[in-house]
Amino acid sequence: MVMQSTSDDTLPPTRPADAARGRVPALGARVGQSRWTGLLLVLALLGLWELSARFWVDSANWPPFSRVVMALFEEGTGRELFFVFAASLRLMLTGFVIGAGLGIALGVAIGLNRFLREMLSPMVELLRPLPVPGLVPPLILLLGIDAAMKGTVVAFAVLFPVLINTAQGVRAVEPTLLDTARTFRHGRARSILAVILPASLPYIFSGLRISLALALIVTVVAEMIAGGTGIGYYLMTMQYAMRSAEMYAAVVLLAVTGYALNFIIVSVERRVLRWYFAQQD
Amino acid sequence: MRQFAKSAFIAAAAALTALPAAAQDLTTLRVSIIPIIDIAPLQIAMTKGFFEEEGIEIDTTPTAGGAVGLPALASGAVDVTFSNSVSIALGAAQGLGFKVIAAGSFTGKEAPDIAAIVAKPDAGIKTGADLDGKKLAVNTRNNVIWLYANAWVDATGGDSSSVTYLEVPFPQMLDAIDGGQVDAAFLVDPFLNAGVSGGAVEVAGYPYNTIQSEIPIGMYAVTEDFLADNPDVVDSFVTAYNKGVDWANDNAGSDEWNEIVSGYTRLPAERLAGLDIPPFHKVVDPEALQPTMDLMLKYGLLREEMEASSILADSVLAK
Repeated sequence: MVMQSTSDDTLPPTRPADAARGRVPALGARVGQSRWTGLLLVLALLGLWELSARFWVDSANWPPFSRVVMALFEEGTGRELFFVFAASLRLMLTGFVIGAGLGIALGVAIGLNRFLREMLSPMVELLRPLPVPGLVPPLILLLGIDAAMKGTVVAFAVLFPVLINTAQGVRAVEPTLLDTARTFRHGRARSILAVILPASLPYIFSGLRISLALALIVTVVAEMIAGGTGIGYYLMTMQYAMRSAEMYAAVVLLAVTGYALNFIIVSVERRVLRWYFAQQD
Repeated sequence: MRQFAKSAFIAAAAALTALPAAAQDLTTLRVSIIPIIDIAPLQIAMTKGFFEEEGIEIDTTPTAGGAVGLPALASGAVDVTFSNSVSIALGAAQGLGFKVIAAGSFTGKEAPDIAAIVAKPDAGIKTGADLDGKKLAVNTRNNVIWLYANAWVDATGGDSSSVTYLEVPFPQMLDAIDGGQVDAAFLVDPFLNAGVSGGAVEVAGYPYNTIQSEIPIGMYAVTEDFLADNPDVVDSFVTAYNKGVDWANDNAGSDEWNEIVSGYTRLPAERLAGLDIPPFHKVVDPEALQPTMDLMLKYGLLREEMEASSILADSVLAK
């Protein structure tokens, strides 16, 4: 379920130009311009939340937003949430780095080598749509219920968007660039590092950005299913303890964290790919 | 100089090896738990140092749902798992070799019980017959709740096969009733207490009590292999755990009891105070467990008859 959302973002390898065009005006470029109207909408919805909880919805599971904010600033809760989020982010980043590293390496290999592409594509397409909750029980048998299992699940989720985008990027490298590399008598390794990887970076970054959001979601889902740490476990515990204000405090923080992570990766992307965006404009 | 370096090295090595030696005095057991009131004796035994007295250190691995505890036990990721009779029996029937070593939680002796089928006050649902063709919320299909919901519907004049069972997590059941997505729900404490005391729902019946008084539900299981390899450790675990049972029963409702239980369940103290918690037990009588096995056969969870005694280790039987 979680994984399927990637399929819309990763276009088939035959249309690299569309993929490139589609991603440029996405989130990153417009964050600055839409900040105020966007913020207004968020504030309006939070106001609606407050009003609905006070006047229309009578449920212990729907506390007013103001109570959620108060819970966030209660001393014990704030401190606990800091450690809860630190544990989850650590797990998420570990899985992300492993999954992204593997994804880039495999993506380059698949992009360059037709034999590998034909051999691995069916398997990638078969594994890619598997939902995380379905993966957890068999993985428990192999890896237990701790960080090793959850990190693997996160890495697995991260792997495919990065792999597919990287492979696409590698195949979209302009032949003239490769010819030039050949003219300069670059060896294969040097061609990959100095020409192919930099030229594929716009694609790789788009894969990384999709994966980072996925990694956070998958981390929380895995923590909800197994183990006693992190955001997912906190959400479940507070829900079962009938402390919905604390639960939503974690949800609000989770939203802010997701926003911050995207902001960071978009900033890095714009910095690293300045040449690329200059070309596009 | 060289001599000094050598003796310093030896001293350092000795210090390093001495550390684990001290820790080795305690055997560490990894226990998969669900942070609910049912595991109070375990938490009490940990807090009060009963396990240490028996030379055991408990490393709990909490999981929010019970579904991963038994796969983790089967794979050896944990040594002991707290689960329910139905799930343990299902695993045993699949040849996973689960054995119950200690009793966990029982249902109440008489109504009102810790779990009930509830509906809106004006819905007119009082018996299983009133549920014919209706929708009933259970937390998970094919588990102990689902099993006793079926049994209650049939025992009170209804037809369980005409009821639609919908999976709804306990925390959302009251909302599902309020919103009309389900006609009734099999609710447990603390949600049952919250819903009834708030007037949102009324009790239609107590399925466990209706079928049988004091049903063993929650229990601690190990694998046969672990039991065969570590009989002394298991004995020590059970001895310490049973001390926790005695303490839990003797001190139920005390401030310390409330502090320990609200500490790991995270339940606010005022919620906990409103609950009526049945006493904990040390022994599971095979005859008290057998009806559950028979119901599992009747409702298709088991393919062939199962003797309750086949999943009970000596440590949980009456001496």
